[in-house]
Amino acid sequence: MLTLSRGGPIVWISEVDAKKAGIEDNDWIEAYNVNGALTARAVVPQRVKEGMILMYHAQEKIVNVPGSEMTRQRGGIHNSVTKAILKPTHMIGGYAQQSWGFNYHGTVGSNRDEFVIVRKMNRVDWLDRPARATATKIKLEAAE
Amino acid sequence: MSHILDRLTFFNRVVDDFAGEHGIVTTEGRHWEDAYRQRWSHDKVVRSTHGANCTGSCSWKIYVKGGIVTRETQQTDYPRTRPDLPNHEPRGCSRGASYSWYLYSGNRTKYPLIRSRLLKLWRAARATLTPVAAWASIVESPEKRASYISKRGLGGFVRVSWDEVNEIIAAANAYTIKTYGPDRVVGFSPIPAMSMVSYAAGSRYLSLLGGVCMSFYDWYCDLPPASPQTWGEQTDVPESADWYNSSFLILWGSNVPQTRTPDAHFYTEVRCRGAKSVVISPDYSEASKFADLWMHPQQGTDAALAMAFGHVILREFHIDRQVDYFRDYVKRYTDMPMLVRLVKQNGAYVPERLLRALDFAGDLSQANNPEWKTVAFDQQTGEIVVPRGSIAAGRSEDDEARHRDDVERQSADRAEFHHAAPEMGHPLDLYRQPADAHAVARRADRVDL
Repeated sequence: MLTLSRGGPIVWISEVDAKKAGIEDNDWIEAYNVNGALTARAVVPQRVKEGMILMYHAQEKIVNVPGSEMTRQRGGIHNSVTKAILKPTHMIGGYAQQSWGFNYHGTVGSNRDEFVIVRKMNRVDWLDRPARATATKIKLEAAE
Repeated sequence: MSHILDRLTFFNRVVDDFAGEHGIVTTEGRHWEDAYRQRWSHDKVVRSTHGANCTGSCSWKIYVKGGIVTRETQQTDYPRTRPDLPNHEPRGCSRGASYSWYLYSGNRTKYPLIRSRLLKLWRAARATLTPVAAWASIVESPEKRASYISKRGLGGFVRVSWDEVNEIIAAANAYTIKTYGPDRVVGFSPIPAMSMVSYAAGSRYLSLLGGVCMSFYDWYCDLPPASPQTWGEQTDVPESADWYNSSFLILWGSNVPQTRTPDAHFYTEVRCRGAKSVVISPDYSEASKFADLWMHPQQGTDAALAMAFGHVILREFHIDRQVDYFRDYVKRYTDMPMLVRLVKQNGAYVPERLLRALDFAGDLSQANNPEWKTVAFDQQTGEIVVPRGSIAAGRSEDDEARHRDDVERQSADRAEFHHAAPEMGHPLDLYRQPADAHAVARRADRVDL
């Protein structure tokens, strides 16, 4: 389906924020925080508010995803910068209709809004080198 | 002339020109155009849908040639469901129309894949050891384990046979059960909406094993707990066509035109009928266009907004003012009339958990499952009663007998309804000529003659 849109993952960012960060429509951007990083093209519309970026979930990560400058791996999806935490209201009960039931009631994860830093990518690296070279590089860096 | 000879006559092909040499007339063969024509040809059309966890479940015509799907188009034979309800059609969306791309995508996983390093370790170990011992020899060696785990996220997968990969999975599970216990085997099964057989196979395997069968709600993190907490039922909601019967719609947490494309027209249609709508969405999405009031709360404050709604509703319809419609609804359909235990905390009583029959002397004469039966106060008799409909309903013999009565009565009601309902033809009947219209016309011609 991405091929019917921009051909890769996209993140929506407001005109005001994009201007502040020096990002133009269709630029490759990297969004990151303590949880991880993702790479995507910026869509700069009037559709989202200032101070907020938005990414639809489960965009395919099979084509047109360059390597992240932060992680040096291909990547990132919406889950990379968000985290699932257990929601306290899922934990109440334990009796009557508020008892655990498969697919019905119980403690499951809950996705939340997150703070992220967005910046234009300096270098779009498609990681086209053989996997071995990439792996060795990571290994060496890890050793350092 | 043959295609090859055509290619050889390249310089002799042009026989004339026109429009001042802007156009040429050639003797060239046009066989190559067949490639484009054949792109759309097919030898049969079959009915199918898309098992991709899309509850739209639209009916599609699948055009097949030589066993290959060439394209898909929307079916147009949905029956009318109610005389006063818009047709379900058109159903289907652009995602559905491009689904065959996924079928033949190079990225589609059709065979078991395994990291080549692990496969090499496994085959070396299996040369001399039994399956479980072979697996133990790999995972109990920190070096061997690190050699394949450290390559995660870096690809390196190779195709392997089902027999071999099944043996690895079985050996790994048996090893885990032997070493740590069966409840350390945790798994997800594909959701039933995608494939009942896959779902049943996975959940049965994990259940018989004594493992933990996770729910797909655990996977997707989208369990709606408010439904079972409030109504005791989960996502037992009417179909989207019922939006048409509403006069006020709140849309929250969904982008209907994008994620429920085939149903979105009911939203548009009910608005043409005068329904008002509030859409709560952080962006001016495709759904926000439905809104008479578009609300876009600050990130992270959706829950506060919902609590504020609840506060206003309780304040204006239950506390400051009692509204019959509201009270009747919550009494009949929610757990609101059920009694709650009050406990003293810092000198004041605060609500704790729901009371149950078990909390009373003699279990309120409930022999079956008193711990599952919530209680209410009967204003007419002044007694504590156990209303039907608690989670324990249907879990004992007397409840089951009552449940059977209910079902029989409901099916009798339904039969009566169907009897009373007007005849509903196919929606296209309006546009179709009666089957013998042609013959009638012919006869009329003859009379004229």
